[in-house]
Amino acid sequence: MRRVLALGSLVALAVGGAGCFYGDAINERPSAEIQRLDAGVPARGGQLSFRAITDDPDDDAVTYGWRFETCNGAGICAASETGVDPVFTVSIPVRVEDAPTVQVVVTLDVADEWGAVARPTQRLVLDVVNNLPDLTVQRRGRELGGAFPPDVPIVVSARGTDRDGDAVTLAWELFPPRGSVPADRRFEPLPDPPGGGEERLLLPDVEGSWRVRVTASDGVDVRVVDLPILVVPARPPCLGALDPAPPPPGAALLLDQPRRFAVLVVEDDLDVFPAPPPDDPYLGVTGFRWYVRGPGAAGFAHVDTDVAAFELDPAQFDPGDLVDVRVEIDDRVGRAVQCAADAATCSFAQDGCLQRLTWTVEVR
Amino acid sequence: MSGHAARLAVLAAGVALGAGAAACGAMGADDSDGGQDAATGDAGGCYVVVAFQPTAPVAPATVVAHGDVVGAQGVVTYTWVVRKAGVDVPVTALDPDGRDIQFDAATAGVYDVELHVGGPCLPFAGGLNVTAPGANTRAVRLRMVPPGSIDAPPQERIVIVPGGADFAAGVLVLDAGNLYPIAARAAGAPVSAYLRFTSRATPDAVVEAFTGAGGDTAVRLVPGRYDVLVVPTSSALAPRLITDWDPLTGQLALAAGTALAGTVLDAGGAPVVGARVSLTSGGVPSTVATTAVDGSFTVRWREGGAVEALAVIPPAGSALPRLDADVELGGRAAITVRHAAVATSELGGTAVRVGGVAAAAADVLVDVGVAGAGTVRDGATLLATARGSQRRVLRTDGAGALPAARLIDGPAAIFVAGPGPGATAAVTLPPAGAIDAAAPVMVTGRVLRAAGGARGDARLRATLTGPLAHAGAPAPTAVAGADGRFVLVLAAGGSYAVTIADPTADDAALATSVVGASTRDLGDLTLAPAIAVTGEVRASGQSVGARAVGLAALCHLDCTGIERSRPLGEAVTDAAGRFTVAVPDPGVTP
Repeated sequence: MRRVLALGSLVALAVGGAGCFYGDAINERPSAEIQRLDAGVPARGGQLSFRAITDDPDDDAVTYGWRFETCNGAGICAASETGVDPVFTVSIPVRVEDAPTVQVVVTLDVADEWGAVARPTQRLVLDVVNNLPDLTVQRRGRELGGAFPPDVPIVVSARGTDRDGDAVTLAWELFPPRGSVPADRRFEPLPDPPGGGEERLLLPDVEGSWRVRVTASDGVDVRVVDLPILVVPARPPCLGALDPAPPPPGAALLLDQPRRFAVLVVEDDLDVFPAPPPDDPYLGVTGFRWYVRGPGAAGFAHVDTDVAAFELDPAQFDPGDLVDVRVEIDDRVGRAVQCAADAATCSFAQDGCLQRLTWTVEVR
Repeated sequence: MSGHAARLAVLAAGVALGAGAAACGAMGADDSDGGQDAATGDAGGCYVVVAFQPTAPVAPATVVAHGDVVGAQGVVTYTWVVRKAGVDVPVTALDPDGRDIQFDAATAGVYDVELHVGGPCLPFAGGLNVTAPGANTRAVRLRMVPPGSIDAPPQERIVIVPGGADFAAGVLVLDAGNLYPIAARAAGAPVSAYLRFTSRATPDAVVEAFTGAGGDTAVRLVPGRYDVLVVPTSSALAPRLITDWDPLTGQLALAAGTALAGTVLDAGGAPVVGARVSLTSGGVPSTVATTAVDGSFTVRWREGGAVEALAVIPPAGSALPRLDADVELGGRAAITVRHAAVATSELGGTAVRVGGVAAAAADVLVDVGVAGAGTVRDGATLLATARGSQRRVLRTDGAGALPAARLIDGPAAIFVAGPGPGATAAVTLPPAGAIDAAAPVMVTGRVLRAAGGARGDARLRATLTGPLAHAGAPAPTAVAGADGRFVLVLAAGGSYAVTIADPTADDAALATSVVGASTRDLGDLTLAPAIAVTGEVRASGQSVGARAVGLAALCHLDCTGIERSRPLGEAVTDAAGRFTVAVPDPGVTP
């Protein structure tokens, strides 16, 4: 451009020598605007990036002057950062004068090398939102398949954090199902959870859908988490591993020496086998009922024993005798077996979870 | 026991059978020596290897752990954690990057060692056994019975447990075995039968199966050789014990066996109709024959021993006794079993009293036996004399009198069922008058902990033994008070096996006996100390634990008979396949 101007000047000089006009070229001011590089609503503690979009008609080099101010809800603003690069990245302080940041102002001044300043000064005002507090709510207890048995303690833990660094307070509400009696249920804080946060002990008194609502507040906003707790009737226990395995219907194991018929595992939500430690907060031990039907007997005779195994000696019988050994299990609920006496197996819920099994043996 | 708290914690986890992720890393597969050798945590080609020096440390010891990673890229960071009973043990790095460390194993027990290397490699985690000086050892069988969700037969592992400290048994692999097709045939014809497979390697872990009418079945067995007892449903085929059988053959060949014909006669020489006759030779039963109208029978059997046990069961309702004889039947084709003229008496109307009170509507077990109740002959040759016995349950009426029943005369043991433990009496039939059984008696004592002091809450159970032991007999129980004292109410004169269990599993169960129960004090009964055996069960082919596997610790070299199936301790694997089972402490020799 300069070369063009100089050539023009020479031409004008030549013409002037012949009585022509000549003069200096006029510098034009640059133009500028602010382009935001990131999307979304600015949040306290977040980052913002801007780029200066400039144009100088004279193709002069330009300089950048960024200013970044933050303001709180009371309208008090503070200069935060400045920048001189085409791209301006800033962090939004969470507080201004000890109050949450609610607005930021970005201004951009652009000048060319002749001092011409872009007009008007570019100014971008952005509202800043508060980050909601984060809230984690968990439950622990004798949970099986997403449900809890009644009258067994459930510990609900909650911890609130805030990315803005605001102090978080928690508020607890319990929504029991219909039929719950305040005097019969417990919902009380536990002292000093080792993992921080807060903990409550819930002892539900009735079955149904319970809900624990925890509200975390950072002083600006709140986050609410509803934790559902499904309390279902105690499940029937299920016979697990057995030794020996019962024979198929119509078949008989051989009893030619003393044998032990043992339940090795019972799975249950409350009462299990092998027995839990006596001080377990939730669990108890399965109840066992044993029956024997000797040769020719019409029905089963109950055996006064409640252990997990039953021993049978062929010496108490004669070769060729068929003897049935039956075990039934129950938990603290104390259900009555509904199946017919002749049924070798029984399942309360017809779901494959067995509460009764029968070994048929043939004495030799 | 030092690891009590940790053991209870694991035990609690062991009974919480919810689904869950398995622990990462573990000792090498089936590392029944506790994983003293190098072991790995494997994550798709990235191996964490840890080797210990010494490999079998004895406390106190300085243990060096060498860590290594195979398959990792870049700089590896070694982070070690060593704990004993949940308490951190200080470690000292032996090189700048901490690849090798050492730690002091001041006391015996299980040292849990973890090595984290970051990146894609799963951490190593395993337990190092540090044994007590002078530790005695005991072989223990760990029987694993999988739940229905795992296709694997029950099986056993023998673990040598050192005394004086808890012990980590490492990873026990539950061998899925193979599903073997099996055909039972007799002269090419299918045989319906009961099958019992006894592993020659672990003979206590038997597998039972049945062939149907087609003679075929499929049985899941751990590869190996078996002794197979085949008991056909048909009385035309003799049961057979096939020894050292390879399941790969798949064939079980049967035959009619040896026929033994005979006749059962009463004392007057009249045929006994409907009697059952059977014999056992070398532990293998014969068929069970029923006598025809002429008293004849034919049993089919195989000679397996020098002497056979012959049993003749009279028909229901008969006054004849059961006859039992030990007799050599090899080479015999026919025998005659004849009842002797044994005196009998009618017991109907005999009063039964317990503690002087009529035992109304009570079941009364009468077990009476007499020698010389019959003979076994081959033609004119006397082969054996038979013992006679009768075992009847008679129910008294409302006045406590026995119903009509004719039994042989002779010494009898009587058990009167009733509220509580029941009552026993020893009488000679026919009784001179009423059958009087003494009232229950109280047997007292005190349970002490192995470490000293009373063991409150101990559970006691008494089981009838001897002739009066029978299915359905009550098993009196008691719970020791806080001072360890207990009161067991037993049938007077009864013989009992008494077990005393510590519900906390701090101490091992104690077995004792009471013979001829009478009111007495057994004194102080001190429980034996227990140690915790921990480990992990995995299904073969899996790198995660198998849950809900029933696990029983059983005696091995020091027991026989049904004792071999009575567990020293029981456990169930948790969601990660881990277990903790308490067994008696073999102790140490100073």
